[in-house]
Formats: sequence, structure tokens, C-alpha cells
Amino acid sequence: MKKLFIVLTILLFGFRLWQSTGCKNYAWFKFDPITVKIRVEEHVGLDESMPRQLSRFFHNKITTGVFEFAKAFAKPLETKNLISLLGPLGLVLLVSALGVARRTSPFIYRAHALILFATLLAATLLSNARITFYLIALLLYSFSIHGLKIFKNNKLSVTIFLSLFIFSLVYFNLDWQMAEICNEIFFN
Amino acid sequence: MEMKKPQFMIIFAAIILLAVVVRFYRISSNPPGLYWDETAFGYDAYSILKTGHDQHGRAFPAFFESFGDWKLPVYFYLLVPSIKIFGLTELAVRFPSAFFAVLTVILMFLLVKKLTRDINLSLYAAFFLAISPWHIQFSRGGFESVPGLFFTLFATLLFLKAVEKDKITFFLLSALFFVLSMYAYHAYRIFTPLFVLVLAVLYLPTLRKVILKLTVSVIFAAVLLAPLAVFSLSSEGKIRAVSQTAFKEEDFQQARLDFDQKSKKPLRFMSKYLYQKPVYYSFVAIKGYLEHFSPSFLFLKGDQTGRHSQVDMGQLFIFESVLILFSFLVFKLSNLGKIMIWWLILSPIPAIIVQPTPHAYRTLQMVIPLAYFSALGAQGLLRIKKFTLLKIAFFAFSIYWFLTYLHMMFVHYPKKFSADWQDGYRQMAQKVKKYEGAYDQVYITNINQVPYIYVLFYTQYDPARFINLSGSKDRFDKYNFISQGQDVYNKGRILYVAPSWEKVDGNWIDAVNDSQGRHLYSLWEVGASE
Repeated sequence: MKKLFIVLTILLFGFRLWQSTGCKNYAWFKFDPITVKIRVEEHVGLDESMPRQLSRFFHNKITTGVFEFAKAFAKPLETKNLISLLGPLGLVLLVSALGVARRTSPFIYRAHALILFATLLAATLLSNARITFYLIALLLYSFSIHGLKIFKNNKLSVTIFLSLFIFSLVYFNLDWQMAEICNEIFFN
Repeated sequence: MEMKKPQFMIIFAAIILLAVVVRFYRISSNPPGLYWDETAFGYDAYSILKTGHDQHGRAFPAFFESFGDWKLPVYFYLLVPSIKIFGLTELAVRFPSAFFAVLTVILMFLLVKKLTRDINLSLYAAFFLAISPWHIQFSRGGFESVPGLFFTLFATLLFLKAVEKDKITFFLLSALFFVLSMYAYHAYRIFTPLFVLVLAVLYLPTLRKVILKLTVSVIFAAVLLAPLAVFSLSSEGKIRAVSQTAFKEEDFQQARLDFDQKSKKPLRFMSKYLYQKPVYYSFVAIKGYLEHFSPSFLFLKGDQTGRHSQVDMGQLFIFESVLILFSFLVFKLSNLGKIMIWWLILSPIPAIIVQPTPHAYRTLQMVIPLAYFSALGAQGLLRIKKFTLLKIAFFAFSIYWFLTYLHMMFVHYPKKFSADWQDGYRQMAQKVKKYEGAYDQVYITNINQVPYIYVLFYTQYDPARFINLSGSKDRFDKYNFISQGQDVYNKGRILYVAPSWEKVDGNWIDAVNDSQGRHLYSLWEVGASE
């Protein structure tokens, strides 16, 4: 049964990846430094009657930069992006994988989580949205597979897994335009 | 390390003082105006105080018609003593909210202490709730959800006490406060029953032993809830949910049409199989639910409605993301842990049946588990013996971020979001009061909706007179509230409050500016030459 779960999950993720090949443009996760400058000026503009030094203490390129960078870093982790990429089953698996990693915490999970973190970091710097997207997708998919451990070899587990699988398949078909992932989609 | 009593008292007092200061400081002027609902709460409560009737003439109503949206009663009645003490003012309208918010901080401490016996963790939890931007935001306005949250937390504490002491009084009190939360705000009509169910399951072995006391309490709650149940099933009770439902037929048809139009042949025919309402609506609900756990909503951007957050930052501090992540590593599935996890899971449910999502107000109850997880993370982090420098840097960054938040709340917020709080209506009503004596009729534009309630509120118009005259949102006494383009000429000599940009054929009298000096309305004398 375990093998069937794995095969079905891989097929499901593979289906989503195949769907995404229709994307003309991919969602952009890159950090744009110009947002820092804009944000600082916007905030300083609201401090008109305040001493400039004090205003700059609260609104400067360093701290605003950290905040804006965090926004870019967190973008792929937005729940709407995650559900679009992983579907309901994948999302359940991802949360379970985190739980499994916390409980068992062997090297493989830690390494996997670290690579995922590094990839998210790299996504804020890479200019190629397609490469970034596939890197993040593959790492999230592979990390989610760890979550399959929560599905035991009993009737209840099989029912829940299959329900989530079908639910995800329907979701991927309903959401075939992948508004969160693709800026535009085309099919040849 | 065990904390000594004087040390504990000082820290606890400091946390409460902090909670009081950030909630009460300049509460009358920041947020910079009373928004519609606050004004309606205030005037209806004033009307109850003076006449025993609401503005629509109903004696001590169980539910308030207000603007036709039928509000729940608790906040109105909480305002009555507040208005008696402070008069019909902004402070009076916001006082119960801020007051119950401070009490919630104390309850947070008591709840964590009761279940963990860990004073340090309890203090951390109270501290993180005291400084929670999410909680502070709603505490400073007249929001029903804040007392609702207090009642839920208090009821939970009483429930735990009841289970521990096995006393019917605590069971009954717990039931009473759970019921009160449901009469306080719409979201608790959904959250509270689900949460009570979870508590019952978690404490099932103990509850089995006190089945009689429990039955009496359930019957007591059911009796108290009967009017709410009747109301909820009535057309009035459904108005709000229906008008803002996330499950709209037209949205469903639009999505289906969109699917057909954008699909090529092999996919197009599938829409009739794929687009089943239960499936489509399930996805709408799931997406809405998950958005409340989005990092952008929690830590970076928050709710995009100006009344609900600072908008330029998250519902929580960005440094809490680290603490909450860390809490995941040290979390133990104790009783408190289970309660907090379930509390967090259930909190966004009331928000998913209505639009828009994510919605910080309908999910305010999330602040309790999130403050707990921040506390757990902070405690875990401080227990680590290594990385002292890193911890100091993190601590400094957290203080810096808190100061930035205060700066944004007290300097930026009133400037940036004055329109969200209908800033300018107070000034308008005051100017009308100043000039109206010379005119038989006053015409006021309703371009910013329901100006009548502001005139009632700020002129402290006699509620008995308003009821006797059968006043409405369109007209009472000499005041007429007109929509754009409605004729103001040939009505004799009138005072006309027009939008700032409207060209009026009359004599300009005065300008009405909001607290930031923006020109919103002009007062004109029309028909002087007739």
C-alpha cells in the first residue's frame, strides 16, 4: 500500500508539473531592491513634522530592506501559492512532513529542509522565473513525500488518502489556469 | 528558575501597564474618527440610556436594527454605563473595548498559569498578547469582538475551574460566558460552539463523572441561546451573512464561464462535470481558510482594510515569525497545547463563509493561540545556553520593531487611514451646529454614507425627539440627507453641506476639514436671494 501511495502522489505532482508547462510566464519571486527605496520615501513622506534623523531611524534602507526581502522570501510560501502547487493532498503531506521531521529529525529531513530554505533564498535572487519555479516545486514535492509516513496500512488511511487524491485531482483540473503560478497560460 | 513574588509582581504590573498604555493612549483621537458602526453603537446606547429604546423605538431590544444590518446586543449594553460616565464621546464608545482587552491580557496569564503552573511562560504569554498589534488594533476601536474574546477566554477558564473543582456554579458561569460571547459578535456564533465541542472531547473522561452538572449547564445555555437561535434563523439574522456570503451563485457561474472561455476543446466540455457547486464552494472555503495562515497576512502585510491593521506590517510582529517557528520545535501536546492548537485551527472558520478573506476582525480569536506560541518560542529560545550574541541581536531587533510599530501607529496611521474612520464627520457636525441656527432647513450630502448618525451623535440630539419624529437616515427635524445630484434649490433659504468639489450656486460660508487638514465639505447658504 505504501508503494501505491508514493506512486499516486508522484503521479499527482507530475500531472501538476505537466500542467505548468503551459505557463507562458511564471510567478516572480525575485527581490526587487527598488521597492526598498520606494517604501522608505513613502514612509518618510508621512513624517513631515518630525526631525529627519528620527524619521530615518524608523525608515531606513537597512531595516526596510530586511522587511522587503522577507516579503520576497515568503512569497512562495503564501498559502494560495502552496495550495495551487501542491493541491489539498500535497498541503496535508507538507504539514505532516514538518511534523515527521520534528519528531524524528534525522539527517535526511534536516538536509532536505535546509536545501528548501536555501532554494527559497536563491529564488529571491535568481532572475529566471521558470528555473526558480521548478526548483521550488521539486523541492516542495520531494519534501512533502516524507509526509506519507502518516498514512498507515489500514482502511481509514486508504480512504483519507484516496479522498484527498481525488479532491486534489479535481482541484488541479478546476484550477488548470494556475493564476497563482502562471502569469499567462497557453496550450499548443 | 523560580521567580520571587516581588519580582513577579513588578513584571506582571509592568505588562498590564504596557497593555493599558498602548490601548488607551490618545484613544479618542487615534483612530482619527468614529466609523459608522461605532457611532451607531454610541447613539443607540445613548438612546437606551435616555429613553430605554433604541433609535428605531424598540424597548430594550435583544437585537439592534442599527443600519438595517441587525447587530448583536452585548456591545450596546456595555456602552450604556460607559456613556453614563464619560458622556456621548469617542472615549465612551471605545472604552469597553480597550477595558476588556486589558482584562483579556490578565486572563491570558491566568489561563496559561492554570494549565502549566509555569509563571514564566504565563508572563510571556500575557506580554505577547499585551503587545500584539492585532489585539491592540481592535482594542482601540469600538469593536464587538474584543469583549467577545474576553468572554470566550473567561468561559474557558471557568470551564477548567469547573472540571477541577467539580462545582455546578463554575459550570453555570462558564456556560453563561460562552453564551455571552455568542451574543457579542457574529464570529463567535460559529467559533464558540465548535470550541466548546473540542473542550468537551478533550475533557470527556472527567465530564463523564459530572454528567448531571453538565446536563444542567447545557440546558441553562440552551435556554439562554434560544432567542439567538430564533434570530439566527430569521431573515434579519441572515442579512449580514447573505449580503457578504463567499458562496455567491454569480461568482460560481462566472468562474464556470471563465473556465469554458479560456479552455480549448478537450477541456471545455469538462466544466459541466468539474463545476459542481459543492466542489467549487469547498475550494473557495479552503482557500479562504488557508489565507489566514499565510505569512503575508500574519507577519508582513496584514489585513488590507485600513481599520483592521497598520497595513504596512503584519497582524503580528515579523520577529514573532521566528518565535512561532521555534515554538514548533519545543511544543508539547499537553492539555494547554491541545486547546491552543484547536483554538488556532477553529479560529478562521467564521471568516470563510463571508467575503473578503483574510479578515482580521472575524478571526481576532487567533491572537490567543498565536500569543501562546510566541511565548513558547521566546521561552524556548531563552533557554538555549549558546548563541548569546545572536540572541541579543534578535532582542534588539524586536525592541526596534516594536518602537517602529508604535511610531507607525501614532504618527502614520492617523494620516494614512483617516478616510477609513470617517474622519471629518465630527468636524462637519460641529460646523453644522455652529451655523444651523440661522436656517429652517439643513441639507447634508450623504456622499460618504449615513451622515445622519453623526449629526445625532455629535449634536447629542434628544433620542426621544428623534423617535417621536419618526426620524430616519434620510430626514429628521430640520436635517435632510441627500444623495449626489438631488435638487437643493427652490427650497427657501437653506444651509447646504456639499462635497468640497461641488460647485454650488449660493454663498460659501465655511470649509470642513478632517483632522489632517484635508478639505472634505463646504457649507453653503442657498436660496438667500429668494
